[in-house]
Amino acid sequence: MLKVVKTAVVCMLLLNLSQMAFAAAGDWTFSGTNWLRTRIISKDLQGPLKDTDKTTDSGFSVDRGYVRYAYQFTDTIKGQWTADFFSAKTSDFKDGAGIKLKESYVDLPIGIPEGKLTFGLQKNYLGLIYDYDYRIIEKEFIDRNGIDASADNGLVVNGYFPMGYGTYAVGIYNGEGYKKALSPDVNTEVAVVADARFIIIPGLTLGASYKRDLQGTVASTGNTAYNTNNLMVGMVRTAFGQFDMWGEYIDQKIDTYSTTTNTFTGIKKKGFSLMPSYQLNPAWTVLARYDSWDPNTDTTNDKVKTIIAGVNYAITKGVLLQLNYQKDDPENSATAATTQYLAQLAWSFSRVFVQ
Amino acid sequence: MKKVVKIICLLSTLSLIAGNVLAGQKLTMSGSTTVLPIAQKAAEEFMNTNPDVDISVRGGGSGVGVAAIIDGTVDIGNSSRAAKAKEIATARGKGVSMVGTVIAKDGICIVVNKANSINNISLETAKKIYTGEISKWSDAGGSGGTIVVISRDTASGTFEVFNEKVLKGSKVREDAMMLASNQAILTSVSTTPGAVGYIGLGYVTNEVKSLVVNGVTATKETVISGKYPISRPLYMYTNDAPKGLAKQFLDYLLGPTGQKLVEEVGFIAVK
Repeated sequence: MLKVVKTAVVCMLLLNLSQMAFAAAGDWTFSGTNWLRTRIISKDLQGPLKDTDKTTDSGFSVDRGYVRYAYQFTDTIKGQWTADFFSAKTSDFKDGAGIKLKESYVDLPIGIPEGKLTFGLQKNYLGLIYDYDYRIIEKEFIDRNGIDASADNGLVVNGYFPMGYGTYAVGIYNGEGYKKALSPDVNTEVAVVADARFIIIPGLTLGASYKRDLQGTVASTGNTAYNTNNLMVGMVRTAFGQFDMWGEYIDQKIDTYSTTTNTFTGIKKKGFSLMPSYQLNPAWTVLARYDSWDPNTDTTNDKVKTIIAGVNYAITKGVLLQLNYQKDDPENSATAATTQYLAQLAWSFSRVFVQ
Repeated sequence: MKKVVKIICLLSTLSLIAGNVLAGQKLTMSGSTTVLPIAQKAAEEFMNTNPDVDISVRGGGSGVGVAAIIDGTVDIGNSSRAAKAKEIATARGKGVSMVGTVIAKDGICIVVNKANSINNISLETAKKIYTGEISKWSDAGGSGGTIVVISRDTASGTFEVFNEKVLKGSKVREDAMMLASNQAILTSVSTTPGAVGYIGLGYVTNEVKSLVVNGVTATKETVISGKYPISRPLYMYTNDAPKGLAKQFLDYLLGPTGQKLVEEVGFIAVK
């Protein structure tokens, strides 16, 4: 079985954000994405390897599915709602699957050309997490390392600079991510976020994001003061011909309040991710990714490096097969390295129903 | 695992070879249904004089044409509106520099049944009619009882311009008839007392009455000068300045023969 699975092709469906369909007032859009995955995960344990130790997970699954509905009330007012269906361990969910709300927002006009106010549960305007299209099966760097959530509840003013020179976003979120929405999980302080991207020349985008978030709750931490999370992200994207590269640099500082000493203790985290890809032809794309994450700069021997190599094959528009090899290599030699062989078939659709 | 890698390499090589073989004297276009008649006519004539050239023309709407340029799936993206900031930003982010060439102009005429006494209309009144604020011709300075509102479907470029210039983004009344072509609107308005519709200048015939809008009559001269308030340029977009076969085709379309074809299919020449 393992050999069969190992030689199977790795797959995934790329949610193509460039499939722009512009809806007019009264139009509605129905779209969806599904990720069908096979996986083999093995850990390279220290010392002599035993066959029974190596493979820790293998099998087929429908990892996730999005269903999205959007309605265009007027040219400038739109509502969008996305449900996230996901496979889960039966110990957590009796039927092996769960559902959560991923998006539910309304875009409202603010009197600025190409600008709007987005109100509700929405994607997080932070680094590449906002743009990520799952061209690699693994989650985006910020999401994967738990640096921040991919979506949150909030109010964000966002839009485009004139002449297509980039984008901006300024807003407030709860700060606890889309899985937490009410007290006591959500504290009384809002997180502030600012993001700007400048397309210097066609094919070269430089950007930066900043987020300040007072984390935790009195109930969960026992502190009367919240932990302070300062997060800065620098991003670059290049697209020249068939070559495309995404990169981001993360600098995070979390100050934790101690009720014993009545002082804050800071932890610094740093990391970066580079993700080049080359489109061989309309069907085939080869991709790679290199991540480096240091969860505490004051601690030695705790970095993790990740190498991913993959190939995507677009079977047809909306159906994408992905094969990924992924190795997580901890700096600490006492921690096992993890190797994954992943295959994913992703299929997506989008249809605008005009009035 | 080696076997898989070998198969992938082989398939990649074959795909690359196949792609190179197909490359040649071929030009692909898609987009605006308004620009479609111009593109089709010009392509037909261009291929007649250049038999080694194969031009593929498809519709889909202006949004499709612009998206196709951004995605690099066509050589020319046709659009009856200028590219939006969102589209330009998306294109630039992907290394695509969108260049629009104006190949013709079009005026959108508000037309009513010939029996209607109305001759002039303001943009404000037209908006009130289409959003349902006014439902009787007596409130709009005309005759014919209840107003029958006829519009283009929202996927059309003609609707997009009417939406921008007249509706200002407001929603068309729920009971409006949404038709798929200029010709269908012309026929419906000409046979329905009390009807109002809008069509391209090139489609106006004496079967309907074309209204003076904000005091300006839609003519070739007022559309070119921009005095007529519901006028628009028609674009063909390319990635960067037109090159090769795309340039040859656009040069032909903007030349005397091409601009004559533009007039023949009912639009206004720009040269």
